[in-house]
Amino acid sequence: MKKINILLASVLALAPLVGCTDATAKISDAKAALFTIGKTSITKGSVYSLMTSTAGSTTAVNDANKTIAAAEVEVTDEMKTTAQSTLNSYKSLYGDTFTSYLEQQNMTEDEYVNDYLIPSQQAEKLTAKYLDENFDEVCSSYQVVKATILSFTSKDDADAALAELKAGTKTAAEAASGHNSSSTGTSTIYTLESTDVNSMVRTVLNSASPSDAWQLVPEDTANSFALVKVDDNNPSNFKDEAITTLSAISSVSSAATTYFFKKYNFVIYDKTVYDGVKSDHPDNLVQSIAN
Amino acid sequence: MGKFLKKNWFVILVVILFAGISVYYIYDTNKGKLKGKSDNGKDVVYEVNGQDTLADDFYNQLYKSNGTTAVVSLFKQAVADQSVATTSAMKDTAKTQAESIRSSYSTNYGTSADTQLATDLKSTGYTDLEEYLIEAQKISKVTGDYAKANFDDLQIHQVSYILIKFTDSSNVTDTPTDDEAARMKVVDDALAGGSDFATVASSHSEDSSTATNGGDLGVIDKNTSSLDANFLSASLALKEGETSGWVKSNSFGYFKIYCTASTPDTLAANNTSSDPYVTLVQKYDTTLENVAIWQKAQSLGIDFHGNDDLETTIKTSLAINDNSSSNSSTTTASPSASASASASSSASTN
Repeated sequence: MKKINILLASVLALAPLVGCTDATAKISDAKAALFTIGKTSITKGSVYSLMTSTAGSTTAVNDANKTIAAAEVEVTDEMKTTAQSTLNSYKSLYGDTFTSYLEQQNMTEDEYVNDYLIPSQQAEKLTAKYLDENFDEVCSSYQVVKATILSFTSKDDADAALAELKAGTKTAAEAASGHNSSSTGTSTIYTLESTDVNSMVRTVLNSASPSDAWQLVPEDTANSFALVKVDDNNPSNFKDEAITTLSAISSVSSAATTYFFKKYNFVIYDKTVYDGVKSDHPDNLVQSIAN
Repeated sequence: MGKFLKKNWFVILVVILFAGISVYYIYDTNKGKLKGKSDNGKDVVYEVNGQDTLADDFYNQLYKSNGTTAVVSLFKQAVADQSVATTSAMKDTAKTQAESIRSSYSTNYGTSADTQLATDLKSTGYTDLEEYLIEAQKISKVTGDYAKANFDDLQIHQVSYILIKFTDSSNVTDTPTDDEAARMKVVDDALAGGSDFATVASSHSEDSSTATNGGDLGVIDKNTSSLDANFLSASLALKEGETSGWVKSNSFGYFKIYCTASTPDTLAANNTSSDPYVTLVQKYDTTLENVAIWQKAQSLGIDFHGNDDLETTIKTSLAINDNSSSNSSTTTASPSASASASASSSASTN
C-alpha cells in the first residue's frame, strides 16, 4: 500500500506540469463587466483580448520605439518648432477632420505634439544614429563609394568624351553634354543597392581608387558604355552624405531597428503580442522564444 | 539504510525513473514556450530598457486608440450572436467568400497579400476572416429583418431608370433640345408600345453601368443620401409598377424612373438569389445597420452598469440619437450625386 502511495505521489507530482503553455499577460480585473446585452456580458478581459490581437503588437512596438528614441535622441528646440509647425499645417489643411481625429484618439493637441510628432522626429534620427555608431561596418557591407559615371549609347561618343577627360580639356558635365550623354557629371554616392550600376561598373567602383584615371566600361545593354571615375573611396570623408544615402535603404533602417531593440533589450511576455510582432514587425523581434 | 534500500529497491528505481522523466518533461514542455513575467503580482506584457509595461497599463494604452472600435465590434457581435444562430449554410457561404477574398488579395497584393489581409481584418476588430464573414451575415440578417419590419416607414423602394444624356453637357438648356427630345420620344414610344421597362432600358438607356441589367439602380430608402433629393423624392413617390415622367438632372440629363418594388414580398421576389437589402445597407443607407443593431440590443436589454461614458461612446459611434434612435434619420440629399448612382436630378416630371 505504501509503495502504491509513493507511485501515486510521483504521478501526481507530474500532473501540474501537464499543459504548460505560452505566457499570456492578463489584466487584474478581467472579469469586470463593461456592459451586458441580453445574457451576454462584455468584460474588460474580452475587450483587452480583442485589442491585443488587433493592435497589441503595433502598440507595443511603437511604445518601445518611443522609449528607445527618447533615450537615444535628445529633444531639441528645432524639433519642438517643427512639431508645432506640423500641427498647425494639419489644422489648417484638414480643419474639423483633424479635430475629429484627435477626439477619436482621445488626444489633446499637446499630447499629439509630445506623444507623436516629436517622437516621430526622434525615431527618424535613430537610423542616422545607428549609422554613426556602425559607420565603417555598414559602409563596408554596402560598398559605399563616391564616383562620377557618364553613360553613352555609342562607343564613338564614349571614346571622344574619354579623350577630353584624359586631356583635362573638359569637365565631366561638359564631356557628357558634348557627346550625347544625359548624365549630369555629378559626383554621386553609390552603394550595393544602387540600381543604376551594373556588375561591370560595380567591379570598377570596388577596385579603382581616386588616383586612377577615367575608365571606359561596356555596360550590360548592347551599345551602352560608361565612363567611370572613382572620386573618393573613403566614406569617412563624406560621412554626412553617406549617412543620408544609407538611411534611405530599407534594409539599413531594418538593421537599425533590430540594433536598437537589441540594445534596449525588448522582451515580450505575451504570446499574442509576440506572434503579432513576429508577423507584422519582424525587425523588432529580438528575442528567441526558447530563452 | 542498506536494508531499506534492499527491501524497496524496485520502488526506489521507479521513483528515480519518475524523477528523470519529470525533469525531462519539465524541460520539454517549456522548450519553445514563451516565458511570462510578473511584477508585484501584475502580469507584464513586455519590457524595454528595463522598464516593464504591465497588462493593466497596456489595456489603458490600447483602449485610448482602439477601445471604441473594440467595444463597438463586441457590442455588434453580442447582438448578432444572440439574435441569429450560426448555420452550416452561413459557414459554407463564409468559406466561399473567404476563398474569393483571399484570391482577390493575392491578385492585388502578391506576396504581401496575407499581411495586407490581416491588417485590413484587424482594422475591423477581427483576426479570423471566416469568423468575420459569419458575423457579417448575422448582422446583415438583423439589419434585413429590421428593414423588413420598418419597410413602409423607411419608404424602401427598388427602382430602375433610363438616362438620356444632354447633347451638350456644357450648355444645358431649360427644356430638352430637339435632339434630346427625339431620343426621349424613342423611349416614350417604346414604353407606350408595350415594351417592358427593363428591355427599353437595356436598349435605350445611355447609362452603360445600369443599362446592362435593365436599368436597375438597386434598393433605396428615405435615408439614401448619395442621390439628388429631387431624384430621390420622385423615386419614393412611385408605387410598384409605376413609371415617372422625365426627371431632369443638371449633372447628367433626363431620367425616367420605374419602381420595381415597393413591398417586402415583391422585393424578395425580385432578389431571390441574394439578400434583397444588401445593396441598401452597404451602399445607399449606411445608417441602417447601426440603427437595426441598436434597436435589437434594446429589445434584448442593455445594461451599461452605470458607465454613462461608455454608453455615450457606443451610441456616438453607432450615430444613434436618442431623439431619433428608431429609424427616422433625416434625408440629407447631396447635391453632388455619385456617378455610380447616376441619378442626380432636379425633379421636373412631365
